[in-house]
Amino acid sequence: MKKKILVVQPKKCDGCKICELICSFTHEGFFSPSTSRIKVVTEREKGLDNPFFCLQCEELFCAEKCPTEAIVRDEETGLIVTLKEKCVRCGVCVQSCPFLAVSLHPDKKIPIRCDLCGGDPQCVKWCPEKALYYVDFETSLLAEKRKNKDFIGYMNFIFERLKGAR
Amino acid sequence: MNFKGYKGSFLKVDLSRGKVIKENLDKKFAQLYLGGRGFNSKLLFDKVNPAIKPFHPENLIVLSVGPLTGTLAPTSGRYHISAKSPLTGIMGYGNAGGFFGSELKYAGFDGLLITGKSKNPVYLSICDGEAEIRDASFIWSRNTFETEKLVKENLSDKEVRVLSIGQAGENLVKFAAVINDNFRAAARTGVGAVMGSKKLKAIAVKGTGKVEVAYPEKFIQTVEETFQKIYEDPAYPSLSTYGTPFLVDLAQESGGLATRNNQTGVFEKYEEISSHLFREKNVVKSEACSACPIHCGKYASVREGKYAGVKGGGPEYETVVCLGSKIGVGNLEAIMYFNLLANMYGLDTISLGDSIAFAMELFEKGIIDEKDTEGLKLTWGNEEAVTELIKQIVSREKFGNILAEGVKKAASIIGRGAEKYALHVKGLEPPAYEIRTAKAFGLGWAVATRGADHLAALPNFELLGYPPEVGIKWFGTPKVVDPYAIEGKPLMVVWHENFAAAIDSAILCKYSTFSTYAVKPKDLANLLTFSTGWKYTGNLVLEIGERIYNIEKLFNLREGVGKEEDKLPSRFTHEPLPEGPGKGQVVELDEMLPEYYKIRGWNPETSYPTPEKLRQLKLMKEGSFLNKERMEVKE
Repeated sequence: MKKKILVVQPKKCDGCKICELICSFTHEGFFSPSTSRIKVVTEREKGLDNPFFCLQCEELFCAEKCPTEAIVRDEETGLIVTLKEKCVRCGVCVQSCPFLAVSLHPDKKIPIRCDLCGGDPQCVKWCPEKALYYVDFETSLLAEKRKNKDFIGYMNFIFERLKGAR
Repeated sequence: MNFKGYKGSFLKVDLSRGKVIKENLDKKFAQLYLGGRGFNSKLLFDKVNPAIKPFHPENLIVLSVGPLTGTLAPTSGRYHISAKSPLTGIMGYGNAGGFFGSELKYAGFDGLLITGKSKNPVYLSICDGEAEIRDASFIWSRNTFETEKLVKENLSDKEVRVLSIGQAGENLVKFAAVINDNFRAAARTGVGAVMGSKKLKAIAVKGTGKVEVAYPEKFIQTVEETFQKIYEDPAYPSLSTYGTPFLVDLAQESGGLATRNNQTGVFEKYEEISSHLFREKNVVKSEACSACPIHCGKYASVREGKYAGVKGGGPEYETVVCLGSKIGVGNLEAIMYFNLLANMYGLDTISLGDSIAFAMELFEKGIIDEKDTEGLKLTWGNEEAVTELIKQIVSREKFGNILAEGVKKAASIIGRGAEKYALHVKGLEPPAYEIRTAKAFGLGWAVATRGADHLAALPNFELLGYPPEVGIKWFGTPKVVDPYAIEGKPLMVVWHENFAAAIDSAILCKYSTFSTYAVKPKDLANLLTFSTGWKYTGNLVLEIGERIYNIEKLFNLREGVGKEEDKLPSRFTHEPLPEGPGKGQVVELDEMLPEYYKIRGWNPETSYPTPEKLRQLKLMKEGSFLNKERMEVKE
């Protein structure tokens, strides 16, 4: 199947963190940004807001140093997942993700990352600025790039990272 | 105790003894007073009697959030902070957005109750149910931006939320603000100075906890519908695109752009401070508060010229007027600079602008001259003089030391007839909109429990150009849709005041509720029901709001501030607007007041709540100090 990923146009993000709240609600049933799989890093004094989330990389930075090989790609969905029964909750994956996309659940202490809500990402649906997109990995990146200048820098950065990984 | 919506816990801080303790939230108290403003006003009523002066160690600072704070209810990321005001001596409070309020909830608290006075500067650090009073000598005499940065470094956590005072609060400037998340301000009535008097420099909060609601499915469905209502709100495009400064343009068009200490309602240099210019030249991007789809906040910068390099949040509409047209400054970039100074030093931009406007009119009228100001030429629009004066006010030097007291006290220090030009209600300087072109706003200022306050009622209804039928439907008279008319305005003001008190307690922002009424009492009731699991109705929400308004009124009456203070400066009641669309208008306050008291269930002779009203609101015990003779209405 065709791989779809979440992408962001950071300049559109205004830092309201609605994505964090709907993410935690969808996954946990309550409101708690610390359980959100998407994380908006803000620097208000500079007017910067940047959402971070799992980019479903080709090479798994998070899996590289996992002592129990608990992080794998799900054959069926293409998503990166942590196998609960193998995971020892050491947090190495949290440290090794260059995109700040993995965190430890504050109660359960297991690593959590974006699961694209099973193909219907709620953050995309709720974002008031439409800064988040759920796109086909291969094709629409290029299409988006042509349309928008802001997009190029950020996506090139990610793309280079992904390309280097292949 | 397991509350839904709430965290069920209050943090009590005694700065004199250096102690912090946790206390359970009482269920009955939560049901009667809801949260935020309701909690704060009741706690102040219970614990701060007339003998406790604003800078006395026993004056309380109460900071609360509500049952919607920290959820996805739109615009719910706010907190309410209250204390007896050093500016007015009565009920004082500010309400601010950002992320501090939500974070407090994730940290496990519905509120903070701060009493006492520390010997040395301290700050309060709260993290996941625990709190600690820490040394603040490294941030004392720093501005709010530096403070926020240094506290984050001190705690080795960039994501901690910080609320602080600047040098203005430390120096007990009577209108010092509390600033959080860099550019959000709980500014009015000088709560920042009360923090300064307690040597409390900042509060830092970090929470990894959660907010649970009673009926998650129904709650999220109601939230989704509410988002939709906000997106469909006719004010949404303007607010989200231009931010609050879009009101500058509306004010000019309707002759309500307060200019040169409210001497007129049109500003000849209005083009230079319009929101279109702001958007074109300065706006970089929107900056939203927690869970807000409106994102009226604008991050802006000055790219070239004299003020190049100025950047940050705002300015908001109130600031553009109070530090712009009211002081004759027709230069948006200068206003942005003044706004930045106010945020850095921690000042209320409304009272600051008004104090300067007051001084400039005295200078114009020859009541003060360069001898009084030690060489400052306080002519309208003199940007250098304004900059210097702001610095003097913050450091309480020279002429600024007098203005730092607010216009009421400054006028009595200056004498020589200065009182006539000191615009205030109960000691609080008035906000931006020119009330001679909006009579419900005029009545609202006169009776508001914290003094001249547009937010106590915020009766936008009269400004929205509704057809007469809508007026009949809402407030029983077609004339109510006319901003110059006084018919129906008392009822309109009472309804708005009650609803606003509930909103300030839930807590939501007034831009999701009052801009064009996207959220009505029954909608708020639904959100509250699904959050707390307790049954709310639109009427119950309004009744809670009414109780809160009455407890604030009782607080003020106990301080000896009653009917004789429910008045407006004579400029608004006796000087007709000289020009513009509102030419000839005054506020016919005396014609509206008796009806207002009657609708409120207050004795029109004394403004005391009647025994029936107190019984209905379950406030008999609280009202027992009142003179019975003066409560009964004589037929």
